[in-house]
This record gives sequence, structure tokens and C-alpha cells, in this order.
Amino acid sequence: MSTYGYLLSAQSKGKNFFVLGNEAITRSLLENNVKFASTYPGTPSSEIGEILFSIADKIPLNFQFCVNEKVALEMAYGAALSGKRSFVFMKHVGMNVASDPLMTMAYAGIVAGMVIMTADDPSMHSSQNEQDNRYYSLISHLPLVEPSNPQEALDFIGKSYEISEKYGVPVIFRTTTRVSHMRANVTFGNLSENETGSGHYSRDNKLHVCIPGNSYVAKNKITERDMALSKESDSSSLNRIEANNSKNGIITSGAAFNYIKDVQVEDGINMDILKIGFSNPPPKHLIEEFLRSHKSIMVIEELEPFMESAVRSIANLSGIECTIHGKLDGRVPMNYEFNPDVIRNILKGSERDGKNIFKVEAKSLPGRPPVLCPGCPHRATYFAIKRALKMANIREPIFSSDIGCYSLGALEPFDEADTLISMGSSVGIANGFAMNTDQKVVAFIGDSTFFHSGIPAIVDAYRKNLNMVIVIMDNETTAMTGQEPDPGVEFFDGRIVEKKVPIENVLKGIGLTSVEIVDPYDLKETLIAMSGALRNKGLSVIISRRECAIIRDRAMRQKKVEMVAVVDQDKCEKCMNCVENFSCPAIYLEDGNISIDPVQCDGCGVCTEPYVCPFKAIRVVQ
Amino acid sequence: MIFNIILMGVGGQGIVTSGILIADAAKTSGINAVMSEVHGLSQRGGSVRVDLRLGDVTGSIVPKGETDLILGFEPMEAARCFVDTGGNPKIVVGDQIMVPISLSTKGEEYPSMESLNEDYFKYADLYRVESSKIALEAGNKKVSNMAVLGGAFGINAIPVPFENMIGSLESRFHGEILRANNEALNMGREKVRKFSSRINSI
Repeated sequence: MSTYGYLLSAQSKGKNFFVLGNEAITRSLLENNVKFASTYPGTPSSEIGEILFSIADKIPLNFQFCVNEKVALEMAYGAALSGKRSFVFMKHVGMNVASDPLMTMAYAGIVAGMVIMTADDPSMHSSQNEQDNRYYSLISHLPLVEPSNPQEALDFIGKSYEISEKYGVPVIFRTTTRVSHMRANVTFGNLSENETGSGHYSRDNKLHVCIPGNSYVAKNKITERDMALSKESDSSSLNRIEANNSKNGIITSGAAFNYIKDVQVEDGINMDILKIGFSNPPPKHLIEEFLRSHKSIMVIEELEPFMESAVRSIANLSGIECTIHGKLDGRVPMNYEFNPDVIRNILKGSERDGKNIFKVEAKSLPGRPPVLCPGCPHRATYFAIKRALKMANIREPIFSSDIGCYSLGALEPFDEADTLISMGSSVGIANGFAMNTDQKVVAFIGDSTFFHSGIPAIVDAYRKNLNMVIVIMDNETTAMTGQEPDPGVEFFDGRIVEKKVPIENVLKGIGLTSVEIVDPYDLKETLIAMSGALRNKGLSVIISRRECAIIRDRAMRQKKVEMVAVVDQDKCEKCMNCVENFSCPAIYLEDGNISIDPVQCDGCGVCTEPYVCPFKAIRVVQ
Repeated sequence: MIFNIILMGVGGQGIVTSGILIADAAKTSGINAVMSEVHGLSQRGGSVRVDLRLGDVTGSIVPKGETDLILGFEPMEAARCFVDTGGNPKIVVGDQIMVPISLSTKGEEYPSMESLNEDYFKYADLYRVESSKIALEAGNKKVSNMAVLGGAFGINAIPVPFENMIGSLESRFHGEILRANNEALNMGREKVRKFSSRINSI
């Protein structure tokens, strides 16, 4: 199913496809002559990279996975200055990493069109926070476009490039999980010309050099541009009014619009809607007019009162007497993503009446939290480290964890995380612990995260010779978002060649000598290395290296090798060590017996080791 | 017309694929579809809920109490979905049990089928499909999702002609995979059974 031929095909023009918002965006890049795209993978934006990567040899677009979002943004900016339309995409927190160059792009401007996509994650389906990235548009002075559904996602990309080129600035394109991961029927447009060829940078002005004198001059131009963009927003087709001849109106954007439409249809609520797709600078006159022609307005938007603040300030400046409701007067919830039920509550003040909501007795069912996959090397690492700490009798170790699949080590039974804040933050925070406590500090960081933003803090840890252990959870990929390649592995698939940057070489370059590389599947080796690192009074690094189980499973399937672990019930003493402490999802308890589900088991064999099964009751069979 | 389906199970059970196939079949039948998916961290062995709305809809999330059909690819998840969504949907549930490791770690076992029946399923308009067995018979353990889907067609619970569903399979799959999916779909359709309060072994 995962072939994307229809996205590439010129014959798809005018046809309708049931696609994700992110697929629609990818198609739109090919329809809008975009020649360069870059990213660091992050949910809910990652499918775009997955698709572009898989079709890279068939499209006239140069796509790159970058070391982090900042570099991805800078590369796309370089492409735009070279005269190539460029696109950079990331999850919302990725914008924080990219925000330094972002803040000066309005000063320097661009040559060819550039769109910066941020995929926000209200309700934190896959993220550490639910920050509202629309504010980046305010502080960076870059215009902001927000689609509500996959068709708009496709259409608005084209409009964004038009705006970007007309005003010479990158446009921020903001989706949310329920837009990027919404699937709907989308009508495709015309593919752009297939021309490739080199871009060219011409040195015709110095404004790309943001030394103080240039930026001083540019700042006034930004203000002028913002005013022009506000007029553009006023006349833009991205904003529209759905009139129902009501005295009351709704101002909305993004996914919230979809639920309002549904509630309107199903509950017969006839309010006029001003749907905003070009949300910064806001369409000032359009909003003024809408406020003047209504008695009362409700601003309904997910996350922060971004538009509401703008609407209130426009009403205030223009002296318009229209009652405005929203988050700031408590009528609209402040947190989490919306759904039709939330909208119904906002608009009707109650759950839907006339329909008996039947509920069975709320006996609570056991939960099903996400888990490390069967065969995941991280499980073996966490298991061995927990054991080593116990054997070394270390009381109150501090675990500083990071972002990746290994974040799941925070959950039982491993419980090996005390802090987890942002990409690459584990080592820096661990440094802080090491300098301010006498406790043993263990920092976990993934291979992709190491390259992304982990290295600077390791330089500091080395310079200050801090007493701590850094464990690099190296599964040789950016696993969580879909096993994208990272700098630690050489990559070659017949068309793309990427050189390898061995993590140990980086560490050696810094000057670190206490570096051990272990295979986590070998519990004994991992345990011994960890015990040694714990005895060391200075800084130790353990690279726990074993490829991601998903990649391994894929390779095994191709080779048609099927291995599974089985429990010999005669030998099993039901000590529960495998279930309670190793905790592989394939192992389960049934009628008091321990069994292994052959469907889930991937035959990694770690559970057969005596540290997991001291009675040798588990073996791997073909 | 609005018809709301929730597809519920555990990551890896082919839930999104099932939704896409129904939506394709709906399109062939001239019916609009909108779907909401889960990706990323929440997918790793956790509960996966996909909302699929057919007809004159804009948003991708099914309002509470308005689910017409639950496709339960895993029994406990089907029960969870039923509690969560309310209303009185038809439920078609497969028998592929996935025991959450968090349960075993605490020394607890998966709820017995008797207790799921007693606490949840007996309140529901519920139909059963032996999806694991069917998948094995079809020769591919990954096609149990098609057996559940077939079950829903067997009780005419999806407002789309069955031949369009077959067409949808044929346009997405080929060769051996198509054959196994097709077989599971047809077997599910034939072998779906209404649940009675007699406890069926599952």
C-alpha cells in the first residue's frame, strides 16, 4: 500500500484521492515548483519526509534529512537565496531549535519563495508540550497561513508561495495533528514543470548580511511590509465569510472550523462564520466589518487566544461595540484540542439533548500505555543498567532522559527517568545535577538526538570532568518517527549516498577516553561496562549499539527467517523475573503460566539469557 | 446521510488500512469520507482509535453518542471504545487478544471473556468474528483485520455495497496478499455471529 505513484503522476490532475493532510502537502510541493525540501523528523509532520525520501529519485526536488531543525531551516533558506523555491517542515518544538535563524529572516528576506511548516500537536499526542507556534509569526514578522483540512493544505501551499514571493519573506504554514493526520478526499492539481538545474545567487544587495547597520534599516521596512501584508490578508481568498444572516458570529481557524461546521449542520445552529486562513497579520478590515455587523462574536480557536487577542485589540482600536467571547472570558476552553463535543458545549452550553447517551457501567478496564517493541535494544539496555545500579548499591541515582523511543524507559518497570524536557537536554541537565549534588547521575541520549543537539553539553561535561555516566542509546536510526537515517550510519540505497559520522569519533575528537561500545543484546557485557562506568569517578560514556528492532524485523522477514522464543513450562519456576523486570510485550501471563506470544515475539533471544531467565526455561526456535 | 465508524485496536493490527479500504469503497459508491489517524509515540503498542465518518461531514472526529459502528480488532479495546463513545452502536469484534505487558508486570491477567461479556458486551448490539482462526485459514496472520471488516458486511452494517469493498481491495493489493485479504474478508462475512448471552469460547 505504501507506494506513492499517484502523488507523482501527472495523470492525477483533477482526480480525487483519499489522502492524509501531509500527503496533500507533499503533492502540493510537486505542483508548485518546489525544488528543495529539508527536515528533521517530528510527528505530526514526519510522513512528508517519509514520502519525499521514498520518491526522491523520481522527482525534480532535492530532499534532505538534516541534523536538526535549525540546520534544516538554514539549508532551505540557502536554497531560497539561490533562487529555488524551498520548503522546510518540522514539528512544533522543532521551531524552538530553528528559532534563532528564523527571527532574522524577515530582516534579510529571500529571493525565491520559501515556506516553513510547523505541525503543532494540541493534546500532546506525540509531544512534550502543546505550545502554540502561531506566536512565532508575531515575533518573527513572518506571515502565517493555517489550513483546516487536507484539500486546503494542498491549496494553501500554492497561495503561501505566492505571498512569500510577492513580499520577499518566508511564510509560516501551520498545521495541527488533526489537519496533518486527517484523511479526506482531495482533488489534485497540475504538476509543475520537471526542470532541474543549478540555482544562482546574485550579489545585488547587502540586505542578506544582518550586521547592525543593515538590520537597523531593514526594521522599518518590516513594519511597512507588515502593513502591506495586513492589506493582503484583508483581500485574501484564504479568509472567507460563511453568512447565515445571523446577528451572532464565530471567528475561527484550523481544525476548530471543521467541528463548528459539523455542529452547525447537526444541531441547526445558524451563526455567521468568519474563517481565517491568513491569520497573521490578521485581516483587520474584514474583522472590523464582521464585528460591526454582529451583535456578538465568539472566537473559537485551539490552544492560546492568539486570534482572540487580535480581534479584541482591533475592536478596541476601532471603538466597535460588539460583545466578544472566547478564551479570555472563560467561554472557550484554554487547553487541548477540540472536538464536536467541546464545540457543542461552547455553542449550546450543554451536551447534545434529545439523544440519550447510553453508557455501560464504568468498570475501569486495564490501560494500554505505549511500550518498547518486542526485540527493542533499549529494553535490554535499561534492564542491564538497572541491574548494574542495584549491584553497585547506588542509592538515589538521578536519571536524565531525552526524546526518542527510549523516553518509554520512564515507565514501569524500568522507571529510569527523572527529567525529560526537550531534544538533547538530557546531558545539559545532567551536568547541572552533577555539579549540584553528590548523587550518581546517568544521562540517556539517542544517536539521532546526540547529533541533533546533544554534543555541546557533552563538551561541557568533558571540560568540567563531571562525575556522571552518559549512555548513548544507539539504535542506528531516528526510530520513533519512522526509522529515518541519521548521521551515525552510512546510508546508501542506490541513489542517495550519505557519509557516516561515527559517534565514537566525535567523542574521541572532544577528548573523551572513557568510552565503551557494547551490544545491549549481550546483557553481561552491558552490565560489566555499566558497573565499570559507575565505579569511575569522572565522566564515562557507554555507547549501547544495536539496530532498531523494526529494521531488524524487516530484514529478517525479507530473508524469510522466523525466530520465536518459547517457554518450557517444565523448567519455568514462575519466578516472574522475565515478566516483572524485563517486561517484553510478547511475554504474558495466562492461567498462572508464563507464555510468549509468537505473533509479537521477534526472536531477539535476550529473554533466554540467565539474567532474565535463571532457570534456562526460555529458548529460541525457528 | 452521516454514518460514523470507529475502528479500534492495537497498533500494528491494520486499523488504518481497514479505514482506507472502507473509504475507497465509499467513494466508489458516491459517498464522502473523512478519517482521523494516530501516528508516532502513541502507536507503539498502545490503543489505536481511528474515526471514519461517511457522508455529509466536515470534521474527522465522531461526536459522543453518535457512533453507528465499532470495528473492534481486539476485544478489550472494543470494550474500551464502547464505554468511551457511548450511544448504542453495532459492534463487530474479532478475537485476536493482545495482552498489555503493563498488566502482566503487575501480576494481573487479561480480563476473562466472561467478564468482558458480563460487564460490557451484553449491553451492546454485538457480533463476533473468529478473526485469528480465519486469518490462519486464509494463510496470513496479518489479515485478521479483514475478517472483522467482512463481519461488518455480513450483518449489513456498512452502508456501502460489498462489491465495492472487493473493488477497493483489488485496487490496493495484488497477488497472494490480495487473495489472503479477499478470503479473510469473505470468510468474516459468512462466519460472523450475533453474540448471545451464552458464553462463547473465544
